[in-house]
Amino acid sequence: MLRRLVAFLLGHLRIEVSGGRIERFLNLALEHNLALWNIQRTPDVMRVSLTIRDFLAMRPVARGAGVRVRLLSRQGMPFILVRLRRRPALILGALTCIAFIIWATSHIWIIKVQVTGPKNLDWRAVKAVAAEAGLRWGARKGDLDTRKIEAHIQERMGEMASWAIIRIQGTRAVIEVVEKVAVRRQGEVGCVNLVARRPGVIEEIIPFQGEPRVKKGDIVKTGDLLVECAFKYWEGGRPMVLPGTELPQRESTARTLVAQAIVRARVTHSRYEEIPLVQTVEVPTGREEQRWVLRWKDQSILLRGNEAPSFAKYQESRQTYGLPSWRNWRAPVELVLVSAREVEVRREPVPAQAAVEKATDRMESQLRWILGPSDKVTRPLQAEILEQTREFLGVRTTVETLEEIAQPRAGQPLPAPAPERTGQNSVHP
Amino acid sequence: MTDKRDLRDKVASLFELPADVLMDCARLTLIGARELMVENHRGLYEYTTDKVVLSVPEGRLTVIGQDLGIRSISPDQLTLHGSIRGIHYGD
Repeated sequence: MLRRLVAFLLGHLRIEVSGGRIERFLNLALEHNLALWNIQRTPDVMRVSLTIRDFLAMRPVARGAGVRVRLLSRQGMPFILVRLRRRPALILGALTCIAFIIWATSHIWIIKVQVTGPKNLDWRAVKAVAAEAGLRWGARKGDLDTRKIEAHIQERMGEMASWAIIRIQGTRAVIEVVEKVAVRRQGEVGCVNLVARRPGVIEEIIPFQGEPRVKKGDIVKTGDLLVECAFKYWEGGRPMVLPGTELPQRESTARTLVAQAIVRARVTHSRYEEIPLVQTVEVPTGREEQRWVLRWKDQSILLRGNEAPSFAKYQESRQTYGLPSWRNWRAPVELVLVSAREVEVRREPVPAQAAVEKATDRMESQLRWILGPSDKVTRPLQAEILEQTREFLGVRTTVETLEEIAQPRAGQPLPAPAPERTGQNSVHP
Repeated sequence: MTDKRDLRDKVASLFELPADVLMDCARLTLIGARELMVENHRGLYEYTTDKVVLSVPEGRLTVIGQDLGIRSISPDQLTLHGSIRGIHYGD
């Protein structure tokens, strides 16, 4: 195996030996220390493999044995390189392909979130929090510090997640999050009510579990009870009522439970904002100063230019030149070009229309955070100017939405019902 | 010469050393009936597809078989492959 590899790297030839005395040819080759292999004999000729160097030293051997030598093929790396030299595009293509593979395999292309627990935690939220710490689609693996990202997730989602771990598997990052589970005392049945998280007018209520405490058209305030965490029944059975009349409320509680329901309400979002009518803008004067800095680890050495720009107000931009980093290796030395552009600070008036648009934009961006996937806007955003001075414009933006307003809140759990005694366990005197 | 060989033979048997270490003789390794490795050979007398005659310190070593080929040959070692039918000293 090793000999074959060396022969491939150095290059080898396949020759055909005919005429003369074949055995003498082999003996003379041994005397001249020529290494031959893969020798195949036919009645007339013999085929032999040998290195380029041995082929060049073979002339006296062939002459001594009186044989004729014919070159059949050339194999190995030197010949491949010669052939490749004539095809630069092929080499470029192969190198580009290798570079692309290296580049592609050093980035994260798939992010998978595995949430273990009661599934109250949305995987998209975990992904968004991980992205804040740098773990996003296309992130360089070398730049990722999994410990830091795990700590960030823990810090941001500590209330819901008991721990998080990140595994990098090739170009895939797996975020495993284990949700916190409420520990219930023994002998107690869980009780989770649904309450309103913002004020509104109830439009729809579909209870799955629990006793609804509101109906369509009711006005609720923040924190009002919507669905009670109780499984109720009529003491003495279902009461008899006249057709068309409402049944009385079930009053007796059989057990507590985790209330589940869809409660949609019309909610009005209103926001008052004072938008300044004068804004300061920085306008470049066209003057620029540059300085070159050599950075060695944490130290900076000024190579050219002034330590600090001579301008009163300026904007800085940095451009770094250095060796390309590879995986988690970064060159300790880099050259930084710092450009400082002088700016002039001006106060410019803001048109009232632009101020109103700014207020509506802010409200829209806030709504994007507030509204869930099933929520929708029922009355479009309206802006009203309430106050206008030289300095600011007071704008009230209002929008009406139809949204899910129920949020869970822990209720008072009831003691667990005592286990029923069976005949086997009962004691008879 | 013969005395010298006898002495080497005696030393080898006295110290229980392999004979090929002290004595000038060929070492043959046969792998099944497919491959034969001959160390300490002196060259070839004859090479055809069904017969190979080698020069060894003891004289001539004849290998008979079918489709015989030389996998590799160097001054101190020769490897034969093919369907080996027999090996004997002499022509």
